[in-house]
Amino acid sequence: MKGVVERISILAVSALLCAAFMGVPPVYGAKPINIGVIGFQSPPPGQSIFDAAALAVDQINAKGGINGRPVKLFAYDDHGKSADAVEAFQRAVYSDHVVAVVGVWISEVALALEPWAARLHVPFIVTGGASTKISALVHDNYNSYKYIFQLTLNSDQMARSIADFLKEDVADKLGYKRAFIASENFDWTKSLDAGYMKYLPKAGIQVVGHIRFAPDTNDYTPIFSTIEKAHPDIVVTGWAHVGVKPTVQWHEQQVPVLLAGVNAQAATSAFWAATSGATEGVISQSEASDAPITPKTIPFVKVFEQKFKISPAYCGYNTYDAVYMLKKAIEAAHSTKSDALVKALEKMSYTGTQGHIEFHGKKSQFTHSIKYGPDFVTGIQAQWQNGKLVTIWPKRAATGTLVVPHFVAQKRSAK
Amino acid sequence: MRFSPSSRNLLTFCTLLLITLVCLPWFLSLYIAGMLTIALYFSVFTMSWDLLFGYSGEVNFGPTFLIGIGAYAAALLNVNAGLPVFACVLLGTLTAVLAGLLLVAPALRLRGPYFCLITLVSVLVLQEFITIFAQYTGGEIGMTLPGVLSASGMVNYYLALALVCVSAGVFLGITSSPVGLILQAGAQDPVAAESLGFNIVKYKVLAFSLSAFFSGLSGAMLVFYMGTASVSIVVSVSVILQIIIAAIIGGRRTIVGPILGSLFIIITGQWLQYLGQLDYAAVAILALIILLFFPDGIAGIILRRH
Amino acid sequence: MQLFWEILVNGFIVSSIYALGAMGFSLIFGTAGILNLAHGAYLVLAAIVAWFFISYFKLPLPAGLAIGILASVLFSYLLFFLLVNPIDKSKRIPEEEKAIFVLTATLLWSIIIEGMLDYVFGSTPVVIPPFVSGSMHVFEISVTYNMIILAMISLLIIGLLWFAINRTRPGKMLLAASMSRTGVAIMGIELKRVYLLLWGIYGILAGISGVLLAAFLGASARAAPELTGMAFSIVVLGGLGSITGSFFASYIIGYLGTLTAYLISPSYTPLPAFFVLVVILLLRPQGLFGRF
Repeated sequence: MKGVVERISILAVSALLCAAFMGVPPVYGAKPINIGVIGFQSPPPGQSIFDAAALAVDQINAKGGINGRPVKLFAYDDHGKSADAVEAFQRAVYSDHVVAVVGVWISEVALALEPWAARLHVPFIVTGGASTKISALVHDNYNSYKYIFQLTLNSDQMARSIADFLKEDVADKLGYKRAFIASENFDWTKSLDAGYMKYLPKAGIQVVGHIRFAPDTNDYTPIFSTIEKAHPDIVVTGWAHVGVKPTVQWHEQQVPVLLAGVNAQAATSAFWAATSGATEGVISQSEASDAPITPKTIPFVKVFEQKFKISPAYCGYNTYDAVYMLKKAIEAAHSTKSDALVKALEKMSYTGTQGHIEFHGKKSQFTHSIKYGPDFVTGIQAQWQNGKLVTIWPKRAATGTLVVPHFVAQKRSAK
Repeated sequence: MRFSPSSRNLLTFCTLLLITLVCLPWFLSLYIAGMLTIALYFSVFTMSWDLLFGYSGEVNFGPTFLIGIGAYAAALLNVNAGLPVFACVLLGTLTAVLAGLLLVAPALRLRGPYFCLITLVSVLVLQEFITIFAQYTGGEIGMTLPGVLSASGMVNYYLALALVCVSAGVFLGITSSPVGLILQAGAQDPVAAESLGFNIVKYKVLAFSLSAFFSGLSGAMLVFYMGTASVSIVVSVSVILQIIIAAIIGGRRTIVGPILGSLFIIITGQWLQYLGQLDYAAVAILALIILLFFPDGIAGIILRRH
Repeated sequence: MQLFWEILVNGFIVSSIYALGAMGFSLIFGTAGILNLAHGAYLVLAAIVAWFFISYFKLPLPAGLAIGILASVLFSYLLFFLLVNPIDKSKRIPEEEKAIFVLTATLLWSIIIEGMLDYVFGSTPVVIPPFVSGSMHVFEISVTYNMIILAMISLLIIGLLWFAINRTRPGKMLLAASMSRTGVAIMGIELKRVYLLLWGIYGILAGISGVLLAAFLGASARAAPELTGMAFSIVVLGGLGSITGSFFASYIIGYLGTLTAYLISPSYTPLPAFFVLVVILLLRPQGLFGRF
């Protein structure tokens, strides 16, 4: 009996100590500005979020911080799970006293954090999730959800960007005018596919078929066989969770179509090794690339690659820009109060690594999402050519031109 | 009721644990309270699982079938019918019990590993249904709920704590009553127990319904605390794994063990957060050490008999 | 007609590879009564290690594959010596609860392997380069040589396994141990030797099926639970403990998936398999060929 009480008291005391240690923030000389970054570390695009945020914060601190105060970054891995992300968000706000949170790669997780950003009044810039629901929530509940911004092209805008590219470079130049849409069956691709249906015909490209497949599909043979029967010229993709398997099967079965669209994994340098080179000729949309999109783009990529030995994924550009925009917002508002920051971000016009960034207002259906267009952000198209990602669109940033993969050209001319 | 020395230890321990949990938020930040809130809901999942496993020997591979049905029924009612949170939680819980009794409980009649298989498949099917009917359920992306339990972190914490107390009280009551003894007898030697005239299946169904009730209730309350209902929070296989691991390393057949196990998993997870993406593996290694060297779990370490 | 041949040929190839993937799981469950929930992690481990040696150290394909299979054997023995054997020998765990302890331990083991793989190699899915390139035309459809070879190797290995178990002395020892442990002990066979043999075979089987699966489908640490789930469904459908049952069940599940993908929609591929599983469990809980 005595033993039990003794053991319990030891346990309770150590638990208390342990918890108290976690709960008390450490003391600094000059009071830093805390920023939180939440993401999913294990996939390469997720890692980019952390790396880009760390890089931006280092650069800001090297140049004297924000209004003379150093910036401190707090990073949390959500393992791609909403429950972990909610815990991380609470830890960031209650325990680490962050003034804003950036990051989140998966739309589901971003949506799960939105009620918390609204409840706790903390500015939250989504730099990965592309679902249009993220901004729709802000639009529908502006007063409580105004703290959320989406600094990434949403899936509707991605479709627009791809349609613009296909019209200029593929339909007009090569005469490829039959497209087949093939997307993984996930929420973010619903608005993407709807966007394809809307923008492709406007670009003069006929949609000859549409297929959605389970993301855990193992065998893509039936899918490619259905596609081939419709004799398309282009397969327009909506892939983020899948990528390697269908790309490799496209290559192995030598399906004579151009593979273009969103193929998120293909936009990172690791994809070449992962597919053992089968990705040669694949075109993917991305936020930005190692190309002169703005004067800030190439310097950012160079420093990033030097530091992390990998090229930044699309959400890396977004996160880097988001941290800098927060800096400007704090400077403009002379405050770290959330309502002041929201106002400053709404008014801001900022040239980042991916283009000129402004957020849509309350009236737009994409409230607090970034604006699309040649004067703002258009995204880029990159193609794998001889083991390298070459930017082929838009023209002002292109470092190369589209090359039709060998077997596609061969099989098409044989017909 | 007679108390064995170990159950007196148990009682002392429960009281102390309760006092600690009630007082904790006065000392600690809101973040710790928020983290413990999730751990508390989790401990209800784990206790409900342990009632079935520890006492009636049935391995429920699909606790999230019950949790998920409770959570999703409540969430759908809140989003689509706009019912108040209280009504949603109540109806969600009842749906979970009904679905459990109709779809899963019949398998309790079978001997062998079939109950465990049916429960596992039930979760996989539920997950597929949520994905297929994405226009109502939000699919893998989940639903954002307009209703909340409370906007205050403290109120949320005490609500979760109250739920844990009520369910632990009910479970302790059941297991220390003759019903608990019959369940255990049935688990150890079903033939002997039935030859004594007990209808083991009936008792198992009773235990299952209780388990379903509290799983569903806790699932429904959890989504209103989170503000979101999604597969990764209340249905996915990783949630099941967490529940089973928490029950085993907490100490099965003790009711408090599962609470300790859940607290252990979530607290060490946060404590090891600085390890980044390795934190899951680190928690798993710790859990494995407990499992191998202290098979009676954390509760076993504390309540060891002298 | 073309559609018919496509379904027939593709279904056959996919099912054969699934069958090999489920063999190890079925064997270890049938003989040692262990539900190895880390099975998927073993498949992925072998595949990723093989891929790593092939693409980073530029080893020739067979050498890389051999290293991958070796890694799987190594981890298989680790699992036996670190977890399964101690739990089996433990006096503090009641006999009837040992199964759930082993199961929880393999679960944790799986999380550890997945975490390590993720940390070391990243979670981008990887693909083992094709063994041969090119494709051929049979029955009006085109099939890659690689897929044909993968299916042939799978069937060959399954054939070898069947022969080893039913026609050789060590195999018969395994079979006997699966039926009665005490019986084997009375016959003067050391149970420990049987287990060493069993876990060795398991490691090799898991390794080979892992690299073959990765050559066809790709592998990533995050796919591990999914692969375990697939093996599990196949084994349940075929009947717990029956290797023949698992073999036929693989074809049922493989063909159902292919049929759905071709005739209904690729987004519902996994559904009919679940449906059949539920029906089988309700009507014939012991599975198609179950012994229980």
